[in-house]
Amino acid sequence: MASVEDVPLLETQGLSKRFAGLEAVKSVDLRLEKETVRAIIGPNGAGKTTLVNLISGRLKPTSGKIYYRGVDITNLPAHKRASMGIVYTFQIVSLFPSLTVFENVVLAVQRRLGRGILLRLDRDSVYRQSEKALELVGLEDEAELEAGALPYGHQRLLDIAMALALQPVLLILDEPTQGLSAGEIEKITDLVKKLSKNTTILLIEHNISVVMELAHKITVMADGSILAEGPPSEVEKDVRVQSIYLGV
Amino acid sequence: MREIGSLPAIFHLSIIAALFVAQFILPPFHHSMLTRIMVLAAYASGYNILLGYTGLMSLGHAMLFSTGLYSVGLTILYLGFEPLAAFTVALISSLVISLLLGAITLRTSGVFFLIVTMIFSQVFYLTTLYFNNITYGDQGFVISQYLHPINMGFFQIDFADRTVKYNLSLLVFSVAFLLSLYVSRSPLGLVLAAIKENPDRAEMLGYNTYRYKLIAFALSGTIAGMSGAVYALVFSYIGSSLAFIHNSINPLLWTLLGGAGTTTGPLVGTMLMVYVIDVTSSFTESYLVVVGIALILIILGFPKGIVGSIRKRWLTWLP
Repeated sequence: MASVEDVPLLETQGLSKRFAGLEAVKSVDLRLEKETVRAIIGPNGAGKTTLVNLISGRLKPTSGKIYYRGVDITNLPAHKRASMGIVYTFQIVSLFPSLTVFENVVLAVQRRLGRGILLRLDRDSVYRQSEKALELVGLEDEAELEAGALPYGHQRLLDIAMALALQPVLLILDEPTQGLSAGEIEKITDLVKKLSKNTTILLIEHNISVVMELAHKITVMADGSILAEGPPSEVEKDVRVQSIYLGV
Repeated sequence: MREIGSLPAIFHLSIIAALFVAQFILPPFHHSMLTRIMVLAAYASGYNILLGYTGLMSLGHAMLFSTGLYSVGLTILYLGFEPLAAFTVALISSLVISLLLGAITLRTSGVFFLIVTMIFSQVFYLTTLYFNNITYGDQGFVISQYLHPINMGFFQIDFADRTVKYNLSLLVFSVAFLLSLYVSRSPLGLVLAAIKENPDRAEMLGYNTYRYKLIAFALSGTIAGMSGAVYALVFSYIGSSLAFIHNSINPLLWTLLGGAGTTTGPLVGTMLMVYVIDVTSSFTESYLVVVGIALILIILGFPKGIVGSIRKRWLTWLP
């Protein structure tokens, strides 16, 4: 008998996505355990981003099912999934560039605290929590700047601050360290480590040392399918993985 | 941050106060010009909530304006409604029609939204022509003889009185103007700004962007209907020409000229256009050429509209 504890946080069954002749994701069965960091690695075009887009609801699968806490969410729109705690950060930084840094975070916080047309919003809590979210990534001094005016690395941090302000249950990070300096990568790595104590994280990442440092488990994808799965130490040794991914 | 703030609040109330005082100073000609401008500026302000603050360009607002116009006209002409009852019918019907129209058209976006709203509006226009035995089509009808004064105890509200006309226009303008201020500075307005800028990201933050766009559409459409209703009460004329696409393009033009996404832009744009047309048409028949040239020059000088450009250069606190 499966108890409640055994239900994985997220499970996909036979998840497939076909784009006009190209099968980007082929019958993927993925199980994410609570409060762990799962990394998905694989060469470009392996279907990683498509897979997380299916999970976040930005894309509809051609076939297959997605379960979140045991509930079928396959047909729920993206905004519903976001309000259920499945939070996705885009591969390319995605902000509201002409709004201020603070307003960007406020948007995340007020969505979580507000209802309807946001008439009865406790502004004090919104502001306090927004400030906290900015402090977490160290952007509090840039709060009044336009988001679009921030340097790239800081935009990435703001993007993550917005995701955190939603208090995600499952946080999907799509290449969060892409284009960042070594110092910024370290900052994000620390942040993810701290978060992983009470958040489940699904991480797409090309930087292998980041993956090895953070992931409890690694899923290797190639050609739209899962090629291998296991703890970092095992995956590293897998010959097939080495040949297709690590280039050995 | 996203609070109305005392400076903008004082600024907006001062504009309303100035418009109120103007009626005691202005000569009759400008008095009636301003009456007209304020009704049309209310219409443009409602339009601006959709275009300027939500980023949706509609060409269907003539239908919503006319819903208010005909609601007042037909209920007074055929059902003998009192002005206030007719106005209430206009408010409700324009809210219902804008929710319906929005629910359908907001499934599209961009150019398609523009075209679909225009098609619905043209169908509405043709319908008013088709049933000309009821609506009197292009020729229209006048309701002044049915507009009985409202007794308020101490005084009477007589719709033929120019002071009543002026203040009715001021009232509808103030409502639209203050609603715009609210939208520009409220949490709701922040969501609309987010949708305008990056709808994908807004959706991923958990906002049902369709629903928020529908709210903006309904607000904008109800203000359009309210303006149409007041137009009928003040000018007493109800005709198909006001449902024609021309009347959808007008608020777009006024808003862009004054500054989309600014609360005062629609008023400035409407005022300028109404006066420019009036002045030029008095000395040439091909006045639209002059208007066109004037528009080009203004847009060259003020690419973000007049108030939009002023805000960018000098008064950054302007909502």
